[in-house]
Amino acid sequence: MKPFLETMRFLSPYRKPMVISFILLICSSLLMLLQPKMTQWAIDIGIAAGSPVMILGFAAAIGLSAVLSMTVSYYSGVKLIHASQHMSYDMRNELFKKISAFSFADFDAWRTGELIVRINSDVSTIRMFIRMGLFLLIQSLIILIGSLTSMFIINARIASVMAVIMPIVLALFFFSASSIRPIFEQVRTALDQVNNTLQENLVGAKLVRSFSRQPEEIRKFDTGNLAYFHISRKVSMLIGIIMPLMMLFGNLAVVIVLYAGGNMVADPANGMTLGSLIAFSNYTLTAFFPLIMLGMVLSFLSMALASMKRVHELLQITPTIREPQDPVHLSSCAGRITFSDVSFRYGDGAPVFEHFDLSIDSGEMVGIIGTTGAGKSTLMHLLPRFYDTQEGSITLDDIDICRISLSSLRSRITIALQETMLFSGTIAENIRFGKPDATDREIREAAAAACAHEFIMEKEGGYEHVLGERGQGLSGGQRQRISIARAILSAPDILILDDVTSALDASTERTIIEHLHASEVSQTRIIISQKINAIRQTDRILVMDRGTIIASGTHDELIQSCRTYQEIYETQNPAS
Amino acid sequence: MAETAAHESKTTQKIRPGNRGHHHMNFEKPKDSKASRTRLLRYMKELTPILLGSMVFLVTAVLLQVAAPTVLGNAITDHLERSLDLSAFLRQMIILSGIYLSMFASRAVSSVMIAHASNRLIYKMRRDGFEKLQRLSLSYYDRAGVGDIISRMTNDIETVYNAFSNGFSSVLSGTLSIIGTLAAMFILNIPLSFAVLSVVPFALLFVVLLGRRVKVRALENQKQVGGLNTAIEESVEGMKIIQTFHQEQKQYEGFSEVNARARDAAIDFFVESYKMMPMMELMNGISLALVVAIGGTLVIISPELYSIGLISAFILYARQFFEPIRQLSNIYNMLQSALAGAERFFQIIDTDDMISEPEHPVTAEEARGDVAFEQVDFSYVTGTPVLEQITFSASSGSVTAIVGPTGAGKTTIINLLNRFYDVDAGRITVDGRDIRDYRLSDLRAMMGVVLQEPFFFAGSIRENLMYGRLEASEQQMIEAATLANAHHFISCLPEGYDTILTERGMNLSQGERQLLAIARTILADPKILILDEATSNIDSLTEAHIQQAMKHLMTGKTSLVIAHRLSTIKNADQLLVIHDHTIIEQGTHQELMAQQGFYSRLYSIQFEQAQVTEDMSI
Repeated sequence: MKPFLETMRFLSPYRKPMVISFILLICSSLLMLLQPKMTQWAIDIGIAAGSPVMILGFAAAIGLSAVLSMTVSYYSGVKLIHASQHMSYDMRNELFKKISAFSFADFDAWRTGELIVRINSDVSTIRMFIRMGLFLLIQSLIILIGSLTSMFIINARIASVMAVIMPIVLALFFFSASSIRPIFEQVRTALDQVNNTLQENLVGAKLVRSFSRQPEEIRKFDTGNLAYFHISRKVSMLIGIIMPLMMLFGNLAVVIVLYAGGNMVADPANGMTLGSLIAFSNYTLTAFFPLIMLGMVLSFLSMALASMKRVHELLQITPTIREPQDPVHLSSCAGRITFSDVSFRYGDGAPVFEHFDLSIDSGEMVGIIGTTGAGKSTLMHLLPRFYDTQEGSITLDDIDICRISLSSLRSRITIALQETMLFSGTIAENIRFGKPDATDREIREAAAAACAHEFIMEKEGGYEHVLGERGQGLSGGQRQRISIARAILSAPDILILDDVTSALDASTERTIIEHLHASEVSQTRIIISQKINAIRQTDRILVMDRGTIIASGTHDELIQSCRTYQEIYETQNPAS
Repeated sequence: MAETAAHESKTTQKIRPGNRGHHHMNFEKPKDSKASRTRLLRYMKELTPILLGSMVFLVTAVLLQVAAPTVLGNAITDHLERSLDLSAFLRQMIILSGIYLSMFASRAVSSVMIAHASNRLIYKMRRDGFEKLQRLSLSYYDRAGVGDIISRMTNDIETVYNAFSNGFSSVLSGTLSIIGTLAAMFILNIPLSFAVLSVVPFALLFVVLLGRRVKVRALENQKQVGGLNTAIEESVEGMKIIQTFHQEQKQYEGFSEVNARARDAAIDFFVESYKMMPMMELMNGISLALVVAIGGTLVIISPELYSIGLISAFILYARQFFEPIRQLSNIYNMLQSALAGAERFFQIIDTDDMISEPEHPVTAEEARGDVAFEQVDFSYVTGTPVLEQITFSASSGSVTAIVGPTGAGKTTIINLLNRFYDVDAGRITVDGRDIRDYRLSDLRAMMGVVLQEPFFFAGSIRENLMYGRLEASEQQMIEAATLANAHHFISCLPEGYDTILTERGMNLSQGERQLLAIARTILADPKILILDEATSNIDSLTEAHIQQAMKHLMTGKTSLVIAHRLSTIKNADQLLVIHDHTIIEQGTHQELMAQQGFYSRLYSIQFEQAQVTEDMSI
């Protein structure tokens, strides 16, 4: 119930158009209910009086009510379309904002696909429910109540026959609807399974072929496909039977009403006319129609409830990293970094750091090298508070980073991450990403510093070359160089390169580092790499292993004193 | 009333449960609708009996439905209005109940049959599509893009299903009931029939005019929805980068702009297509008014020809007549998009970009693993050669290192050897036989590849390691992992070998993923080893351990290695220097250094520093 109310909150700005829409809907439904009544009057009064003028009058009234009903139901629909679309727009914006505030730990807890589905199809499903489900629900309830009332007005005695039939039919209906719902869930799960297998197979196409696993893949896919076939067929068949069954109930009710009514017509004392009998049987059919519609409402509702649950689940997350209460705003900083007594672990995992200490001076250029899993990247993710430490503190210019406002903290630090995700758009737009107001000249300088200028100029359109979705159309090395240029351009006081030169050849790698060295900007720089080539020119090299710094010094010092560093050096140098 | 639901659900097929991501509304018109129609019909051949059966039941149901109002009208006129015979009336009512019951039975049977057929159809489409995809060359994947293929295999098939499961019976019963109702009306009374029909030309005109406007807006809406989907996917996937550069606000503004455009296009489209429903209600109401006006007047003028029973029958007919017209106009769009979907699906089936199996495959029992390229040319896109005149041979047990600048075509050589793609000219042989003469599975069983970006399936580490050798024992698996230096970190994981790998391998570092990929290949025990920059992401210490393991593993196997690190390459039996699409130098490290050519320049750039240290250590 809570997810339902929570998502319905998004409708509150549109309360007015929604209410107007439903009032109009009630009006048009009432007008529709009038039609059989007017037909009855035309027959009972007009024909009985033998007056063509009267009949024409009733006919005109029927025509007029049709025109009115059309106008009213048109405006009702338009209002509802507007309200539902605006609601889904708001909902998507809010979900987007929520994800923007995620910490990296929050991202670790979700699959990208799950987030996308929520913003994308779940919101659409909820919108569909508002637009169609609520609409049908209200309309069918009005029609149901209206036609039952009309029947009682025409003749209470036959109407009481309906009072017996209706509850039975309703009970039957809800029973079957509730027994179908869990099968709907199964259909969804089965289809998910099929699509996941397909997606994995396509993404891993090379691997499947390398290991000649096509027969197994086909078998795996077919198992899921067949399971989906069986469950989906079951649902289709059930629905295929239920719909005509509801129609049958409606039709049989008409027969019963007609027979009972016919008997009453025979005895004038009952006050039953032929016209009212026909109107009555018309209302009987009309009363059964909403039941079929209610079936649709139920399927909309059950889908919408599942989506609401998923959307709500995302909305109620409080990002693990939040703005401090009384934040310090940094408009600039010297770039002096201290880690003191820091302990950190991912979730419930093994500790990555325990009582870790490190300080980096303003304007220093530090290289970090070490084995896989030594904690090099993790260390750098702690600085802009992508993750928070469990113990100890990190300071920037002697201010605890937890006291600095998140936005000003992050705008002082730029990290080029290992994942070199680019966006669709031109190359220039991608480089400008972190500094939207950068001039063309600055972009070119950054690209030149990242050794990217040459290959960019070889592309059609140069800097205006358009990249596809997620920056498709570049090789791994080219992507890395663009992402380095992006970081260099945006970097304010602290620049961190997190192993972004892995796909570059040695000379390019060195040129980039030399450019950084030569740059006169006062900036603290931290370069993480697995290659000595990338870090040997830094002021200080830290050798990390399993969450600790085992040695630090210049290249020349370490090559003499640090055994691990020597080993790394030897494996990377054929000359030794 | 009910049609509005059908209408919207057709335009937003995404709401079918489980259909995640990659959905684009398919309003595009099929390019050749007739061809895809016949194609689809032929595809359904095995379903013909069941479809015919369902048609028979459906026709029965419609005929009964058409007959019912007549029976009802006659019963009222004959036994209540003109004379009063309640027992005859009861008999008629029993007959009517019988008609309704049979109507239900035929409809239910027909629905069940269609439910079977339509689900069977998409089952078959999925199966055939998937099987075809397994046989396609990777160049098809490059061209079409994985996202597009997924969309064809899910949404497009879904549109076919929607149209078939709802459309088949609707079109058939709609057409039949229009014809049947028409016939029944004309038999019953001609003037009143014309009264009902008089609004039809207006209705048709409206449908045609509105249809055109709806289509334009539908296309615009589809475009905006596509844009919104891209924006969502890209922003969510790139959110870490966005945060890193502190661009959340700007990205949010951009997103809500796209979001607003999608909203406005959707409002335009839905409002336009919504006009259909109230308009049809109006037509229905007007025809009702006409029946009452004309019929009522006629009852007064000539009561011997016109009765109240007759008018009540016509009131029912008017409703029965407009209902299917409304449905058909909605279904038209659905059918159009289904045909477009079918066309896109058949494009997969029709692609002949296949790696074909030889007709008479040679048996590869005791493979030695001698590899040779003979004057091989290749291009991914015609006109842009990637490899030209590549000739070299690598004998069993030797190590061949491929070096050269990024983009020179090193990876392509390996793609060709694996037959991910076929050569344009020349040939590649293994043990002297053209690789196209081997059964694909035999060929690939000879080769083990460690790709640049290792890929794993969702599942446990164990399942992934065994991927290339299902029958491997626990002990063999652990041995392989140990050789690849992976056993240690796997054992440190809380779940060990049963650790489930998540989507992007969040729980493993890139280096660890590399180690796993190597272990997987070691376990598969191939004759020919292909390493595509496999070591570039692993730190030097780990790499050193792997190289030991590899040395042991490479014994007696042909190895082709792509690596930037010359330490691996120095020990190679031969080097191939690829530059500008071809092999410009070939030989051992010493020979190439002596040549003082491209390679020696490459080497000196890379190892300038090494020289310095050597000097130092002297």
